[in-house]
Amino acid sequence: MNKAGKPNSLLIELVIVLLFFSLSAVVILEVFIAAHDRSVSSIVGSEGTLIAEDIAERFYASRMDPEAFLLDEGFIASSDGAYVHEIKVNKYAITLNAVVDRAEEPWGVLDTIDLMVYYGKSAFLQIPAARYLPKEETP
Amino acid sequence: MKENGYRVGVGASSILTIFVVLCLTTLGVLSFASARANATLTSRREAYVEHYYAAVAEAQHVMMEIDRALVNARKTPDTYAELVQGIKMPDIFLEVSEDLLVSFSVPCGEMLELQVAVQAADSGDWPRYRVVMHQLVNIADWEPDTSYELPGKDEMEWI
Repeated sequence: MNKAGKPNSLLIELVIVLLFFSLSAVVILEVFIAAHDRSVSSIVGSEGTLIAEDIAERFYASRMDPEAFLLDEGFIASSDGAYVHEIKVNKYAITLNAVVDRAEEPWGVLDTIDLMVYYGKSAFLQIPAARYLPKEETP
Repeated sequence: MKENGYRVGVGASSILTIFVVLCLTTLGVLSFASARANATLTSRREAYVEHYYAAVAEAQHVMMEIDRALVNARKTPDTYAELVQGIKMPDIFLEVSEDLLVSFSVPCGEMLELQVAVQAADSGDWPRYRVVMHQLVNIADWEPDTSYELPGKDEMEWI
């Protein structure tokens, strides 16, 4: 208030402006946070997909056993029979979980690696990397 | 006393705040739209990759079954060609040509299919088959956009 007891209009305006700006900032900040979250999920999704594709293609081209292949790729065997590999992508940790399935017949072997890609606790990609290798007949 | 210098009038801070809020809102909406577009593109790519590798895995399984049929057919070399031409599978349509080219296709999503062809070798040869085709083909109907009036041949003489 000024000396005459009237409120200073500039001060009142500043208070109102500050209030308005604070309320707007709260709403706008939520929009920015949502945009950031989506951006992170798309970065992680895109990089995780590329990594999983790369592993699947290299398995398809290799002649190694799936278990040896996964260990060679940096996976670690876990107690439940799966193979786990953690990769950092732009400070975000992606976890690859691989389960090996083998169908062996006298004429060939069909190996399948079920690759699941996790960010946090949710899996966003699951691909089966399959490879059939025929066996030569024994006379 | 005479006042000197510049004095901020009432309303200037309101105008400035409105301008800043409008700028921030525009930037926020733009960044959200961009992030959403990226996320949509990523999820489409994830769906495509899942369909593709599921189709490849199915194709590998079919190849294993074809190989089993080839092994069985080799047990009677005299009727090898007839047996190969008679290969059938319950869940998938196999097309076998006279020169023992076995072809089949596996759906890969709604618009694509994985077409695979394997050439069976003669009885006794190794390897028993050779993959001669493994390609993704678009099977969706394509309709040309005729809404544009493109210039005719006569109208393009100046080029």
